[in-house]
Amino acid sequence: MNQETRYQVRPEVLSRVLAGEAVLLDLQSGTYFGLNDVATRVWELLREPRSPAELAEQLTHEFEVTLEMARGDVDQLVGELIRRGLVGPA
Amino acid sequence: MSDYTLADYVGMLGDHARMEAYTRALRRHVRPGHVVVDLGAGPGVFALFAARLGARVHAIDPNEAVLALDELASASGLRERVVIHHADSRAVDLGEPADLVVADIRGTLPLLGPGLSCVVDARRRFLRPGGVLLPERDVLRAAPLRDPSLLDKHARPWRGADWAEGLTLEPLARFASSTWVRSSLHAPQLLCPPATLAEIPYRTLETEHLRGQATWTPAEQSRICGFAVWFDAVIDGDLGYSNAPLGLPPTDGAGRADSVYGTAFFPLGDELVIPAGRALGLTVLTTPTGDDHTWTWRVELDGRVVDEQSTFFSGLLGRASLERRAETFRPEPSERARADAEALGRFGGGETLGEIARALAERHPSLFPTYARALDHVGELSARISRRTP
Repeated sequence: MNQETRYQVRPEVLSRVLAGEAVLLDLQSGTYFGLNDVATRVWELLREPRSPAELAEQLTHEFEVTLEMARGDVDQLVGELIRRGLVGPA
Repeated sequence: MSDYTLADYVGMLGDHARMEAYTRALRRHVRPGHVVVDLGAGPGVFALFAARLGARVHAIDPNEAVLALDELASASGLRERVVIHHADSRAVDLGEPADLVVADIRGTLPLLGPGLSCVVDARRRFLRPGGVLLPERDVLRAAPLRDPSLLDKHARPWRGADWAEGLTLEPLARFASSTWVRSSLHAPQLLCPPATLAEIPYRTLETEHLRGQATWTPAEQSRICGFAVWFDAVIDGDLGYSNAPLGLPPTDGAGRADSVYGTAFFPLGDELVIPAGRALGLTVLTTPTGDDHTWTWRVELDGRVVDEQSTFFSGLLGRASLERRAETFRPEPSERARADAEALGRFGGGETLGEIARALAERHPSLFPTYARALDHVGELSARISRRTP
């Protein structure tokens, strides 16, 4: 995954955070998705355009993870969000 | 198709504009020998009307009200011309092509429950080529509302009231404004003239997603609190009716529906100031979710989103209930689910409900401390999903 490309949540996806974890509804498919706490934080960060590199950097400040671990997690998560059409290029 | 009671149907029968539009359209198209489907029939008054015009009629509704048609049709001497299907139409096989399908699937707005999905399915599977579908289309219309008191029953009480004495109720304001409600609205409450938001062309429609957009440009600085949304129903050509705000002349000479439908009020999170000459946009999206629709409405000023509401935010308040709908969730059965699975596994095995209930009460005493409770439960299950004998 290109670390510098900026991504953003798609406007057709609604989200609600309850007890620190987000539930998403894709208005185009009518499908619900659940996110864990770290993924929820990434989702909130993606309300503004951000690159995988920026996201990973931010996670190292907020969670006890190394930059390498954060990059791996971000790549996997953002890749999944893109594959499901929930996030797109900014 | 709905949770309507017989009392609700009385209100619809009493709506002169609705009945006039539908019955005139039926008179226009139904001929002796025709096969007619009354979809979401309720007690089946359109079915009866078509039967009296000489048609053989299939009245379909998952609501028990349709069973009343047995008595109604007999009273009019039309019982032999009516086939009653107490079922979801999507599971019905007519066994013959229909010349006409008639449906009224509206509440305060179209897209009531799974109605749209049923209409599209009926058009594809029931209607012969060249057959007639009533209604023809619904036009959704909207106008911004300036009366701030309309918000008094929505978000405002959660934002602080004398009696609250410092309690913080604000977190619920978001949910309260994310529901549209049936209201009694009047023309003087509208800030601008109505605009067309979207059309639902039932005779050609392929999607259950609706996307409507309308724009107004108020000449003076104004405050709005939400939008009035209603339908102009075109049943067939010049025959129709509308639930426009009271005092507003219906478009295209359509009849004025009685208050049974009301008019929908789509609230904003809070009052919004519109500077003079700025473009005020409203986008409404619907998404089929289960057997219902999620309604989302966005307000834009000069193309920038300034307010967004969705019934997604107002329903399913608990995280657990949302989470359990997620695609990625791996469900585990509750004890109730295991008991139901056992009960359903015994359906079709020749046992009576009483025998199944006894077994259930024995195996799940915490759920069913008495035989009567177990019998009540399996009776409900059976009424809902056991095969109906013709």
